[in-house]
Amino acid sequence: MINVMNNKILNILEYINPNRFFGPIFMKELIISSRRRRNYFVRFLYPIILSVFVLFFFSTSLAQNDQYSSVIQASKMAQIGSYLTTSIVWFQFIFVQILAIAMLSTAISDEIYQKTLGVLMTTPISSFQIVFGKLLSKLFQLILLIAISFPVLAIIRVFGGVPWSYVLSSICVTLTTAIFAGSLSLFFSIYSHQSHRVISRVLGTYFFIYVIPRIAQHFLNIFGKANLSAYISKLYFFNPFMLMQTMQNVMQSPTSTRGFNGWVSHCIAILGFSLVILLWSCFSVRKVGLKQITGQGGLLLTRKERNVADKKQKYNYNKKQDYGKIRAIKLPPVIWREFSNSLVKTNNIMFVFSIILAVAFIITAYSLCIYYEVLNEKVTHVIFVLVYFFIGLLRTSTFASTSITTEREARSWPILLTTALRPKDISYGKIIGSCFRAWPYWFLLAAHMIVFIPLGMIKVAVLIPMTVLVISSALLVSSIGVMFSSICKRSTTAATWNMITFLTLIIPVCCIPFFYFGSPLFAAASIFGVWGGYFEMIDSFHSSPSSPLYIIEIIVASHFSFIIYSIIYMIITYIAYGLSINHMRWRILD
Amino acid sequence: MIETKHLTKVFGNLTAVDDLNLFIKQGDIFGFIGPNGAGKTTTMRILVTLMEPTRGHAIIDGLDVSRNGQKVRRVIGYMPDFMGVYDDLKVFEYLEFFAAAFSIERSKRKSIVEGVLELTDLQSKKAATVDSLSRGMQQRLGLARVLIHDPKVLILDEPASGLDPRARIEIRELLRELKRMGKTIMISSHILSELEEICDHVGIIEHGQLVYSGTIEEIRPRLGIHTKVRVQVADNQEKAIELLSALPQIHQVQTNKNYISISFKEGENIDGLIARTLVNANLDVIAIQPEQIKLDDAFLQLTKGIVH
Repeated sequence: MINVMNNKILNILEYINPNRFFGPIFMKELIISSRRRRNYFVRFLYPIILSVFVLFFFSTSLAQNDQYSSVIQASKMAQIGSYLTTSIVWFQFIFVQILAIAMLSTAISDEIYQKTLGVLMTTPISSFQIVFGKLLSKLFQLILLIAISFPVLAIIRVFGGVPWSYVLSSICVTLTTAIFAGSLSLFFSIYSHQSHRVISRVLGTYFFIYVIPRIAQHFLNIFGKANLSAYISKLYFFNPFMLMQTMQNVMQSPTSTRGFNGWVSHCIAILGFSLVILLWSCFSVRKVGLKQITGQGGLLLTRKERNVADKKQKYNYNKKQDYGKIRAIKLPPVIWREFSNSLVKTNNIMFVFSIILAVAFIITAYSLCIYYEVLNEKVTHVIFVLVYFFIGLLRTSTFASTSITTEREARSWPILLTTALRPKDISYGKIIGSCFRAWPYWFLLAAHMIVFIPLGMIKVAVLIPMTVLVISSALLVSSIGVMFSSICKRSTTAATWNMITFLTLIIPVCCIPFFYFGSPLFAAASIFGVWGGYFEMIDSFHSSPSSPLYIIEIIVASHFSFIIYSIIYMIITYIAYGLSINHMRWRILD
Repeated sequence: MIETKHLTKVFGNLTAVDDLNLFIKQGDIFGFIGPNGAGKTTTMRILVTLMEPTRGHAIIDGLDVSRNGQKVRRVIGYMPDFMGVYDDLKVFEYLEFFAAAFSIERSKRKSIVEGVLELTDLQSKKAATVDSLSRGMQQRLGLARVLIHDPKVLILDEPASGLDPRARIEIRELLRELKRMGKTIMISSHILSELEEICDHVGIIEHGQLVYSGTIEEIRPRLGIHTKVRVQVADNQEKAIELLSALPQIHQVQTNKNYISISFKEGENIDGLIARTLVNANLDVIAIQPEQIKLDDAFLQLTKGIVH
């Protein structure tokens, strides 16, 4: 009898064994994850950040509550509980998505790069098992992180005012959104080796599906197409950000008696979309894997596709015979090398498409400003400048963080180190080269200022402090990027660490004043005088703005802080530069 | 030209290079042989300044590599066991990039690049992108890169690995040409027969220790390996075997389809004795030919094949 029971239990366990569905890939990924220190670090860091976040909101809410009597304070505890819960839920919603995107950004590309995907194709493992095994192993870790917040949410419920249905629905929405984000990241990782490119593509897709409909709706309202606008608003059902906001509004509404029920169908729909992406990924993984093992895609192609491929090959062959122009090296070699990594890839459809999209978006943005008659407003230019400044810094930072790791991956790094170039020449070249390489992004900022200064919409006096700030900030993020690139083994790791540092530096951590005031974005905004109104103040003191000391006086009197920032940035730049030199000969064996 | 004195490199519990003493004369081609994980690449990486030794010294052209890294890099040309290329550059740009990295004046770069392209027979490919080259051509490009600053010493880690026979022969010829130009070359390879043909000296390393260093000819007596002679007679091979086996100087007689293989101790002048013995017995001798000792034999005898 016991034996029969045991056999039945074993049969059930065998039936639900994840290996049955997801094959050895799932277990392999779990084993590898258990050996990676960074996963333990994330599990350690996540509750700490969550606790700091909760403590900050809790202390702020209590401080605001102090002015009331103890009776009112007690009655307001439910409200505090509600705010705390929503802040945790939002924190989790964003953080888990970021982690899902980052974790799966190299899921397939690693297998392709290490040439193991082709080998997997020769085993009985199916592409379904590869894709779902990868996804679920990461999802496992995300569920673990979400579970960490359960005790905190349970304690906050003591305050009252937070229905369980809200907590449950938000967790489900968070999880399905993370699955969707992870599926997108996994899909893009089939086509790109570098994780930052995958992350950019996921964010681009987010922009497309979440932001573009909103802009389109805005335009339709302007042109009086209310019917079409209403039609587009139905798409908001699929937007988890909008859904989270709606659920929060319903929960915090004093008149609401029951929660928002639309989340169940939303989650099912998002899971459906994720499934489509994953099945598409399965097909693509198989195609890429077979291509890798056979060395060509001929076996997979239809006759029509083969003809197209043959024509393309013939074209490329002819193109290769026509070798084109050889570029002369007129700059120091490392700077030239960075700069020669051309951004302009006219043969890449995605690149051309991105350029068209970016130009269309910029024209739309300026058109909207003209339509709403806000182009003359100071705040409009502050926003434009901050956006361009942020993009410029982000790209400089990304280029820098992969400048050395890509050489390691291409195995050209030891060769460069055995040339007569000194480590300081290489580090300096990489820092300056990364800044140069991001010139098209900086050009946007420069063009905006060049156009609007003569029109009198931007004060000419901001030119000098802005130039100094741009140079010092670009050097800062570039040197930090090169430092991480020098220390880390892989581009993915370097780009991730650099991104974390960059965001810490750029997005001010409100509770730490130094970071807040040290942020280049804050500095840029203060130069434009949006909060201080410096220029108006100084204009009012000067009857003659053409005074020769005018600009110097503005810089010294009104923008003393930016000089301090710039000096601090240069000091950090120098330290990062030194560290990159010291770590240059690390990991040569990799 | 190249010297190591008690060179030692330790990684944690692993001693990759253990008290290594080497000496390579100027103008020599030195073959560095050893099983996988024996410490060849680590030794080479120390010599080319990519690594610091834990103990001991490495000296190239009178310069200590640990103390004079910058000067040493101008004297050496290093080709690693993998072809690290900037695949989006053209061949000419790639070489000019390294010429600039060695601070060669811009006015001289073009002629120097043209020169190494001619030497490596890559002129027709100078405007091709590096990634469009075949493996053999990429290896030749690697050699061209190494020569761009006219170094005295070339350190080549497995330059012929993964190449087809034609490409291997081309690389071998190129190395001979470089030797004629007076370069000192240290070369590691697993294709022992190739080293045998081009190297003046060989060093066999195992467990980070040098188990043999010297010429290929010196290996035989030092290891007590028997010298072999091939004898071919017109007919009556059985009688010849009987007569030769009876000679006390001969260690072993083996028969093959067309010839007799005779092994004897190094130092014995036995060719005359064999000829006399066979002619006196009225046998028609077609050929008496010494058999070359194979480097593979020495390698197998000297190494145990145990890796770290």
